[in-house]
Amino acid sequence: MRLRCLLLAWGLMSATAVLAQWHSLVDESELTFIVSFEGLEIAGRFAGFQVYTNFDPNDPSTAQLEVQVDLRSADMNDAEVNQEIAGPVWFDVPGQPQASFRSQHIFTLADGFVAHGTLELKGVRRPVQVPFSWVGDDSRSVMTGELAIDRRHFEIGIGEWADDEVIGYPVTVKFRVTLVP
Amino acid sequence: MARSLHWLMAAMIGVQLTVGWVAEEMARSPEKVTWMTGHKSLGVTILLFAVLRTWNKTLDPAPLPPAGTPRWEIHGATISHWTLYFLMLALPLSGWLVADTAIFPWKLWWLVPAPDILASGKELHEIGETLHKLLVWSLVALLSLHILAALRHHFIKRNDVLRRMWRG
Repeated sequence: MRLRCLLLAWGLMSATAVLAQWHSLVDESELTFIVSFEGLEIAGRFAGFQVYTNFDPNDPSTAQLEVQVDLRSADMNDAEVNQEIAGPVWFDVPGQPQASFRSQHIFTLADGFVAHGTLELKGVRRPVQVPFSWVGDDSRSVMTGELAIDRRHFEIGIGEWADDEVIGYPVTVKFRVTLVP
Repeated sequence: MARSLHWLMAAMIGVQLTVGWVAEEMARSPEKVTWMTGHKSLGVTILLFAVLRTWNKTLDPAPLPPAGTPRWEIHGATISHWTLYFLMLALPLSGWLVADTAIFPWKLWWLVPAPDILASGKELHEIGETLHKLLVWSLVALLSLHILAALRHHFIKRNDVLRRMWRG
């Protein structure tokens, strides 16, 4: 029993150690989403998100990546709208306050990298591919990229907002993350 | 020209007051967005016509009041007409302030993207809303007076003031 506890603790510590090799700096990282509103762009951001990875640009094959997004931090620069998007029609923050992306498969592309993983948002889990670039050195790196998701896949905007008459289906998610060891 | 502009704007203003009222009462929904975009578009259209009309008023002044009109009525009419012109310009401008300081982009008649001149912001947005409400109630009050005065000319004073605006 004691041995198993020790082994479990050791296992947890090593898993954390691997993932904690790099972590994001909140104040120097951005995660934004852009959607069309009557055919024009409208944007919002998540101030509260964290990225953990043991990524090594010279050998991405063993990399693991985890992103945790605090949906309570969704901000569209309007207090009333922020309250609205936290509701069940949009992000359903009380029901599912966190979104996450986890990847254990990162591949090198001609112009960067791509992480194949699972996006969990509003209780829905779907495979997504996140292309990104990685620039920096051992003490500080910047990860940049963007991907398109379809809000219907995650039931974001249901009921009377379910069609795309006013708000479009594709959502562009952009990120610029500063990471330190 | 002056008379066509008068009745065209009367119709647009009537529709605009109704659309603005209905849209304001609606809960946030795609329909409300559509009504509001219509309201913003019509507001800009009214503003353009108001500029044209103000310019036209200086070229083609209103006919003289009927002989024997008391001085207070002439002054009253001059003041209320210029105030109506002021409101036709100021109301759309205050509405534009409300729209421009909101976070939502919009297209004029769903075609031309409206320029986003001022940054979105709570303070200016609320000033715009207060101004817009104040001006709209002033307009409703003054329009009531305007219509009552026209009816008084027609039915009580039995002169041709209303008739000549209608037929020339």
